[in-house]
Amino acid sequence: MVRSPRRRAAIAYLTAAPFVLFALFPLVWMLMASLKQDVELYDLAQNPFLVRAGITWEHYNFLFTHTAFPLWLRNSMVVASVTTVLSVLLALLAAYALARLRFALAEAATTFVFIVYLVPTTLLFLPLARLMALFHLSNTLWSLIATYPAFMVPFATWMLTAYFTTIPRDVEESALVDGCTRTGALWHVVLPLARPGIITAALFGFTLAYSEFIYALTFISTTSLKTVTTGVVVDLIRGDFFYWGSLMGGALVASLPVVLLFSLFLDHYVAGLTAGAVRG
Amino acid sequence: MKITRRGFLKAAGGTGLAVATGTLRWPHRVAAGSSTTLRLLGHSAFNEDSDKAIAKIGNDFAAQHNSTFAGDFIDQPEVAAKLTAEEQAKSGHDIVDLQDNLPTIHKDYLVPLDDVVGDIAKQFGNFYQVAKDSGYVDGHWLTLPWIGNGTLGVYRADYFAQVGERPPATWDDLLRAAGKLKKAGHPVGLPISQCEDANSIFYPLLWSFGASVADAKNKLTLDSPQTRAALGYGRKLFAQMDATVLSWDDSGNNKHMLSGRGSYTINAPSIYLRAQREKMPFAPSVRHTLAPSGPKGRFFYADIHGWGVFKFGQNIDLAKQFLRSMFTEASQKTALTLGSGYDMPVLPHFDQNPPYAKDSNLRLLVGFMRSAHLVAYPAPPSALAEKAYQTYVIPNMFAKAVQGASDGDAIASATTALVDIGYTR
Repeated sequence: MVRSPRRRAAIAYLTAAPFVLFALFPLVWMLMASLKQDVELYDLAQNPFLVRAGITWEHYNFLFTHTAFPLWLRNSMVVASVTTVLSVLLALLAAYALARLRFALAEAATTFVFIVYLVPTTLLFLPLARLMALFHLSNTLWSLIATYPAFMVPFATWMLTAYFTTIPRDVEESALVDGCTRTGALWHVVLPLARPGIITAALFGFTLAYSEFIYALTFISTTSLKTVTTGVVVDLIRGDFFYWGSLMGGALVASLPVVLLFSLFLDHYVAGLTAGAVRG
Repeated sequence: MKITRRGFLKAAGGTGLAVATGTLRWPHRVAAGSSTTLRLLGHSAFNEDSDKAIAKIGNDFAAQHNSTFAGDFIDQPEVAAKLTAEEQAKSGHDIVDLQDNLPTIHKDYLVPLDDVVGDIAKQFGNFYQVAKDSGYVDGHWLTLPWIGNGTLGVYRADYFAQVGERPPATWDDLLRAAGKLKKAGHPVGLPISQCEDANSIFYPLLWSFGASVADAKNKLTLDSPQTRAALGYGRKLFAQMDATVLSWDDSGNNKHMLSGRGSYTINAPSIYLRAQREKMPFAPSVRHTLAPSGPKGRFFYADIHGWGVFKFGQNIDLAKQFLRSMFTEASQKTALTLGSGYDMPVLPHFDQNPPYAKDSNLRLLVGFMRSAHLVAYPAPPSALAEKAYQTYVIPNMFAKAVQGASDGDAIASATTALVDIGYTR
């Protein structure tokens, strides 16, 4: 049966629509709540998706002028970016070794890396707090930069190991036969081919670091050094009163960098995730 | 202008490098002889001015002692993780905020403050018993009680008038009014969920029916006809409330009242104060009354916040000096004025005529602490009681009962949870 292009497009859009609505729901909810006046926010009779009493920017004004939100956002970006670069670099080397080099217990090491990733951060924050105090890193952003790779590297290694195994050995061996060193083959042949996997690992890693809460809460005390996840929650929930408008505004603004990153690298991300899906 | 990936990476990388370079500086040890920093960890109060009062007292003290003051305030539910991390790291704040029975849990890490409390008591008299219940552990003052937060019945005078009811004096009054108010579209709302507000309501409800969790020897007494009577009452009241009360957090009853829909709840004065400050149209109708009494009388629950000093702190003597400075006439005036009635004195001396007593809706709070209890009541303060409080055993029991569990099943479930915590049958 031949379908017209218009009909095909309609089916495609209709199929995608529920997923788009599902994905957009939190963003729309946050946007609406952040633009409403307090009186309307509290009025349960109002439609939560409509702003009837007029848009207000007071919640954003409060967020940017009465809290350290810009600093929290900056701190989150810096910590997430630095830890992502560090973690992906370390994970690249580890994953390459686990996927390519033949050594005793390679498979067991791969499994171990995966198990380490499964250790919950809530178990680790107490010993790590002790370590940070010993190194005099408590209450500094360095405490987060030093500890986030603890959960990011195993995850990225596990993801990249799986990706490296999808790259044919023949390509790399051809480079070695042509005179490339192993490092040269890695740099000139394997890494360009692994770009979607690296980007996927970096995106996941960035998101993990950007949204991390328990280390950021326990290692950092000074308001100006907080990350956005703890700053928004800790400073905008006061006793039994929640600054809903500013909380939602803060959550919305904080989610934009991640949305932007995923949008820019979506094709690589999809390629990275689906690599190996059809491997025989 | 089209944003390319390469362009984005270049711009983001350049900016990021510049920002990171400016943001990240390697920490260095403080040079000998430089100014000391006294670090305090407090809970962020509903009332922002409460934090400002502490900061003002701290900064004034620091200015007189060649030091600096750093007050960090975080929301109450996150305090436990923070305290535990600092204790394990043996590093962190000098002075920490310990609520209710928390000193019993953290006692191994706290410096006895008998000398500080002794000096203050010599000058201003003894603390209220409920404050002593919080701070005095195993024969020593481990925290200096600072302020208390009390709860009152918060009601809409206009809605009660519409249905021909007066503010409820007893639980039966409340139940009778609740049926009428629900029909009028303005239901009563008490959280029956895992939140502090639910604890602060259902412990006094139990006590007012003559029930208790444990006796003076921490032996369980929960399985009693009195508890069954309280559960029966809870079911009847729940039938007159929105089912959403089962999912409320601590902001739930605030929203219920501030939305203009709710007619009654039990809460700290935050709802009243917020309605006044935001000049909400119904603010004049938001009033306070004492929480209802039951067959065995009226009971009050209070949150007590006290200051503990960590043993591993670098500035123990300075911290003690600072704590003394928090109990001067001037410091207390600052705290109670900015506290707006949300924060109440724990020393009777300062509870004679606090600044908020001018407001008739807050005057009910004067002397509140005299007859208030912590959740351990009638048992002595204990870590067990604090764990039961933190794990919401009593609200959970009521939540089970109102959702169909029999009295026996609801009590058995709570008993199992309490035995797991360490209570004996």
